[in-house]
Order: sequence, then structure tokens, then C-alpha cells
Amino acid sequence: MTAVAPPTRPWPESPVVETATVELSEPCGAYRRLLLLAPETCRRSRAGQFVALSVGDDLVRPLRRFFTLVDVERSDGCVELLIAATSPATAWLGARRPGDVLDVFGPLGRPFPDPPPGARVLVVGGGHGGAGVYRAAREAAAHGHEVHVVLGAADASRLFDPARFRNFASSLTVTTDDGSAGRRGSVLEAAGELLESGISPVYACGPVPMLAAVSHACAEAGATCWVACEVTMACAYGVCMACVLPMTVADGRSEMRRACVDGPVLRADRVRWADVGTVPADCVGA
Amino acid sequence: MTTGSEPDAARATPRRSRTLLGPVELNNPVVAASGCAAYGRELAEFVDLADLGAIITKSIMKRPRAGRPTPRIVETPAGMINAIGLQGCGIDEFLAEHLPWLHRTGACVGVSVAGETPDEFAELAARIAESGMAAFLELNISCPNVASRDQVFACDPAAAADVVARVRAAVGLAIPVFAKLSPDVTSIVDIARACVDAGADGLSLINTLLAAAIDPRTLRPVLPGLTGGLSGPAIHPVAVRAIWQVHAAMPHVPLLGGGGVTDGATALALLAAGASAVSVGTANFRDPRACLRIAGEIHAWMESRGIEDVKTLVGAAHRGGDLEP
Repeated sequence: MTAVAPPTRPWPESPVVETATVELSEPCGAYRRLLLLAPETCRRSRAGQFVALSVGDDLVRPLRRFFTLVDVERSDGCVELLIAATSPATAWLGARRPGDVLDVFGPLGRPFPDPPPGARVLVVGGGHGGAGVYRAAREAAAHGHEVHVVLGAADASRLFDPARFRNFASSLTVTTDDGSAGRRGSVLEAAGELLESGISPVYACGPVPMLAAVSHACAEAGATCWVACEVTMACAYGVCMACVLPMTVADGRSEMRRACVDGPVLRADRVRWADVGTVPADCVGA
Repeated sequence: MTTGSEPDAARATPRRSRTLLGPVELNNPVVAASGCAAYGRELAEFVDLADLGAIITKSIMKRPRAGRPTPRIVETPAGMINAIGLQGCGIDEFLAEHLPWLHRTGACVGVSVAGETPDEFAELAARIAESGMAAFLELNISCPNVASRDQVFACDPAAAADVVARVRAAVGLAIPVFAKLSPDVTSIVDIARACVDAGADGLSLINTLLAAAIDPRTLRPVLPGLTGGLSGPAIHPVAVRAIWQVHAAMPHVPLLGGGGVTDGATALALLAAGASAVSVGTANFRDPRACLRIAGEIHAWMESRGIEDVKTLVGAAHRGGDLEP
């Protein structure tokens, strides 16, 4: 297994709360792409981190909603987010227009670690999870790594912008469940072919069943796998204990670890995928 | 909302804000509520813990505890329901690692303890008192996220009094003891009186309300265990009512008021209802600097009215809005 050092605590930089201005809101397949002017969040952020947005009146909706930082434009202080409008709160965000202001808390969580020198990198994105690995992929390529990309979704509209990956990827494979774009099937077959070539590390983001399957395939192939998890959160900075996942820690013990501060980027082989959503009997507190 | 480290009004001119929660001296009347500030380390990235009125730890139990299955939270209209289930490290690790660190920050530290039996409460309380590193104890006898309603001691006057009496016997007068009560009872005044008669120095009102949510898409409960504790703006009027009732019945008993405090106005309402200080919970999730912001808003409001001492506001609503002379 390729040795990849985990990012060390404390985080590269503390998150801040800032008032951001919407610079752009446009459709992106089934989603909406938002560009926010949020210079401090932008400056401090790294690939794989996320932000927490207030959604309208905080008396009505007291909790923030959480979005991966798709990418940043350091020169102009903008951060890019992808909104899947699946609830009234996210629909409200999707309806924001240039000039509107949003309350942003970020950047949050641990970033993806840099690939080891000379490593070939495999990036796997499922649905809007493609947005969660975009920056890691782009930066790895910019640092001279060979980056292979596999994007999958239920249909073409739910892929995250394959064209943008094409700019830097050594290979790009698209899969859809219904065959409306790329190969019909799941990301697993395409990822499996690349894993056979000995590629490592692997960066993945998508729904839990996909992450579990990718994690399993990487373990079989001996590849190091980092996953960016999307789980239900309340505070996103470690105080509430809502977003826990069962994980193996030192000396074979298991703990319920917080996805917000121990993640969202986690070593895939430490997550007890079959037990996600449960509290296994051998899990101690954390 | 603030992003940097500019001085807070409450810090710049502390005298007006300094107050007493019974025997406990506070820098200002705004306290980080138990369960919404973990053991302080994460919050310390955003605020100097010594600037808070106090910080109350997540409830400490005898053994490490993994908590309830996920998802553990759901937002509801003007609130949220949590089913965290007291996940925590247990008292051994807490005393070895977290409490000494918290103590060194200079913060006023309240330690919340939760036992499964009255004896466990007494044992936990004695160990915290013995450490000498906590300013007060909060007995969590009202957490809705426990295995059975029998463990919600605050539902029954005799059970609540039993816990308080055993704790009092175990700690003597070494540390002030506050009992945290549930509003999910027929008469909160009866429970409050039982706790005070059993030796509580004060009361913490209110814990979350037992609640449930159903997902309209699946027609199934959102939380795997169905129920959890409701918090946030939705419960603020319940807190006002509970604090009013208990203060009216026992005006000399110090109350820590909590429930939907999001700003200076909601904090002032709880003070006027009879709370000596207020605790802020759910609002911390949205804004890690919520406690300092709210303390600043109270301070600014007092300054604008020429009110010199926050203690004069306590129970003002019972006096037709008049300040304590």
C-alpha cells in the first residue's frame, strides 16, 4: 500500500464566518452552480473542504446546509458551489441571484492529502459527488500527476460537468445507469479496470453505497483510498456529534468519529461501511 | 455577525454584565449550554472560553458511550430534533484529558453529569467535585435520549429529589449543584420544589422536549429511534413559561434559563421571566460566536437604557417590567 500521510491537525487554517455575495447562479445539468464572493473562505480553503450556508431566516431554519467547495478562483476571491435543489432549503439557495448575500461559514473539515510524488491518481465521482473531487483532481494534474477520472450518475443530467475534467485528465470515463451518457453501468467497472493497473491513491466522493464499493475495490487492489463523505450534519465544527460514522482507530478498536472534523475526507479502509447508520456493539464513545 | 477578534462589548466594559448564578460568579449572563459545546476544544477555535459567562460540558457518564444510530438530527420548523444519545468519552478520560485543559483556559466551567442511577450521579458528582476544577455541577436528569423514561428522573418529583439528595450527600458543600429539568411534565413547579428541598442550589430550565418527525416522502420516522429532543426557537415560549412558573413559586432560587435563545431579545425575555443567566444551545451550531454576540447585545441594550447592573433585570416581568431596586 502506498504510504500517504494523513493531514495533520490543526487544520491548515481556521474557518471564518463571512457575508458572501452571489456573483453567478447558473444551471449545471440537474443542479445549479453558484459562485460566491467570499475572499477569506476562498483564501483559506483546500481541496475536499466544505462550507456551511445559512438558508434564509435563521429563526425559521436554525441550521446551516453544507456544500463541498467545488473550486476557488484565488485571484478574485470567489468560491464555487454546486446546489442540488432537493428540499425547500436547497431550492431557496438555488433561487439566489447575483447581488444576493449569503452567510458563509468555512472552510470546514480536513482536505484531501496531496498525492505522493510521481503517483498516478484515480478520481471517482458519483452524481454531484463529482464536484467533491474536482479540485483535488485539477490540482493533482497541475502538480504534474497523471490523473484518471471516472464520473458516474443515474443519467446524463446528474453528472458533474465532465467537460471540465477533460481539460486536464489523462483519461476520462463517464458511466450512467440509463446509458444517456458514456457507458451504461456503474463507476465500479471502469474504476476496476484502472485499479488493475496499480494506480494509487484514489480520491472518491459520492453516495455511501458507491463509496463502500470503491473502498472495497481499492482494498482488493492494494490502492490507498480517500473518500469525501456526505452525511447529515448540524454544526459542522465538531460540537454536536450528529455526523458520526463507525471507524476503526488504533489497536483494532472502533469509535463513532465525526465526519465534520475527522473528515469529510477519510481513509476509506478505516470506515466500517457495512455498519454505517448503526452503532456497532463494539464501538466505544469518542 | 463577526469574523475576527475585535473586542466584544461585553469584554470591554464587563462591570455592567457581571452577574451571579446563585453562588457562581459569571463574567456575563450568557452560558454555553451542555451538549452544544462538547468539552470546549472546538469552540475555543472561535472564542476565548474565559470570555463566556460559563461553559457547561456535554454530559459526562460513568463509561464511554457511543450514542444512538444515525441520522441523529433533523431540522423542524423553527427548531431541530436531536437524538445524539449522550455520546461521550466517560469520566476517566474526561478527568484525565478534558477537564484539566478546560480549567487551564480560565473559563468558568460547569460540568454536566448523567448517571443511569442515583448512585451513579453521586459517584460522578463526587469525582468532579474532588477534582476542584469545576465551578458548578449540572445534573442532567432530563435527557430524553435515554433507554427508558424511567431514566428521565426529572419526570417524577421523588425520583428527581432522590438524585439531588444523593449528590448533595456525596459532595457536601464543595460545589454548587444545579438540576436540569424537563418541561415535559404536568407540574414543573412540583419537580423544581422537590429538587430544591433535596438540596439543589439552583435549577437549569429547560432541557429539550420529547419530539418526533416523519419524512413526508417515505412516511417513515426520520430518526431511527423515532424520538429525540426538540430545541431551537420553537421552544423559546415553553422556556419562558417554565421559568416564569418556577420563579413565581420560588423567587429566591437561582435559575439558569435556556430554550431558543438566539439573540439579546430572547435572552432578555428569559432574564425577565426569572433566570439569573441564560444558556445558549442550538444557536451555537449556526454561529460558534453566538454566546459572545448575545452577551454583547444584552450589554448594548442595557447601555442604551442606562441600566447599570444585569442582576436588576432578573424577574422584571413579575414586577410589571420594573427593575430590582
